[in-house]
Amino acid sequence: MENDLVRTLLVEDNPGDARLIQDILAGVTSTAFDVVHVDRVSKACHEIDVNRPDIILVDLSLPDGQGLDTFRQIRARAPDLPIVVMTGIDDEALAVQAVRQGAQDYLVKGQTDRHALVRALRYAIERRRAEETLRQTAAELQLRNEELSAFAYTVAHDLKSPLSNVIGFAEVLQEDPSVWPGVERQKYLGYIVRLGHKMSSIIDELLLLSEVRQADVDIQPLDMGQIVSETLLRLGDLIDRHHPELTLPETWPAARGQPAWIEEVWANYLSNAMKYGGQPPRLELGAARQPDGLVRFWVRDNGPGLSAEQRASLFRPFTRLHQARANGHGLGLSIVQRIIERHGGTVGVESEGVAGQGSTFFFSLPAVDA
Amino acid sequence: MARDNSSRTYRILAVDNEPNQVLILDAALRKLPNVEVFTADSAEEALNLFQQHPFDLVITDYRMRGMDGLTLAAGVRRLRPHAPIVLVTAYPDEVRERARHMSLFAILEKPVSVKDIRTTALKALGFHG
Repeated sequence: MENDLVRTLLVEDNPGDARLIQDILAGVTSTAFDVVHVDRVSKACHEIDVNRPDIILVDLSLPDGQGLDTFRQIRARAPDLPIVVMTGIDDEALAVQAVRQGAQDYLVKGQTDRHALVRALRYAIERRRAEETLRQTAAELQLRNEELSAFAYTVAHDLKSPLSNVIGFAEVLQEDPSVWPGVERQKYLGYIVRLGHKMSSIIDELLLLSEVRQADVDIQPLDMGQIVSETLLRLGDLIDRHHPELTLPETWPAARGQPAWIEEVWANYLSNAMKYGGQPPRLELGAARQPDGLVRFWVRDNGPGLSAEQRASLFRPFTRLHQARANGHGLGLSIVQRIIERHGGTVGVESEGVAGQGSTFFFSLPAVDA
Repeated sequence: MARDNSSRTYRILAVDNEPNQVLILDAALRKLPNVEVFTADSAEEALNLFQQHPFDLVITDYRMRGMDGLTLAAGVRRLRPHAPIVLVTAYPDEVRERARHMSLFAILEKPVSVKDIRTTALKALGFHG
């Protein structure tokens, strides 16, 4: 700020006072003030619109504005600019009120030397900047809070559905085990077990998500071949069920990341590709170094493909999660997105929306030597 | 429990596109005396059934693929303005908000107990529990 040019709008109808301030500011060597002087609120508003100063120094008593009303008019026109008000010695109370309503500082005419004036102006600019940063942080926090509570709402309700079944089946069976014949009874008992596991995995996903939000990312060079093998081992049940045809690259480009989290990413993409890809699924895994210093990894399937609308609905903020859920993809893609964003990479899906030509889900990670 | 008409059979329609929930509703309601339970796995199917023969009570899920439970309720109202309708939902606030101008007999929040289903059904049919 020290060497910057401070474009100052001086709003003052008394020519003597205006001259005095301009003289003072012209003599300042530490900061260069470029002063534009106007004598009416209306002209000040025009100047704000056209030239947008860095700071506004305004006398509260003007021909077309009196007292706080002057301040309010200027403030309304320039809600994000620092404003310092000037007032006579009798009106200090008024100036204090202006500060309460958002002025950065006030100066009492006749009591203000060069030092005080320059300091008031510079502090006002810094204070406004700090306020703006605070405001932005608060707005971001608010957004994240809203996002989180919308998310909690969706997940809580998602848990209620299987829970509702578990309670219902158990209650009916507890009351009268013979209500369903033996084979059916076994089947519904099996449902209870399976739904229990389902709820447990929703909870695991939630815990992972909160870990991804909070924990530090421990980024290290990855042995991607090893990670993919581990993932496939973990998805053994799904592989037995769908018998996918898998094509893997012989070598992987070197990338960096948190191994356990990257395994989650592959697990999500691969299980989705097996469930929603073609029948039988033909999955092609690949990777390529990109010009931007990231390595892109992908899974291509042979499923029905996704329309532009479906593609847009997959990776969505939590607030829209319900929509994504309806497409059959779970919490998983939100987690994938969080994880990759924490690594500074991107996620996405490409598809022509043509049946059989499938979709390509990708994520990118920093390359090792990047 | 006093009843209005002991010889009559009451017909209840239970609607949910989740097969498990239909099973549970069916098992819960079937135990009630003089009651015949019909099920539908979509609001569209339920409306078709209702057009063929009116029911004494409709118990439906709210969020379903295709037509939702409240739209079904409005359709049922047109066919039979006084039929009691019970909504079972994991989103009671949303239902209450949307159903402000519709007189639903009850909104039950998931997870709902078998006992609550039965008590509500009995009250809706005019039995005083």
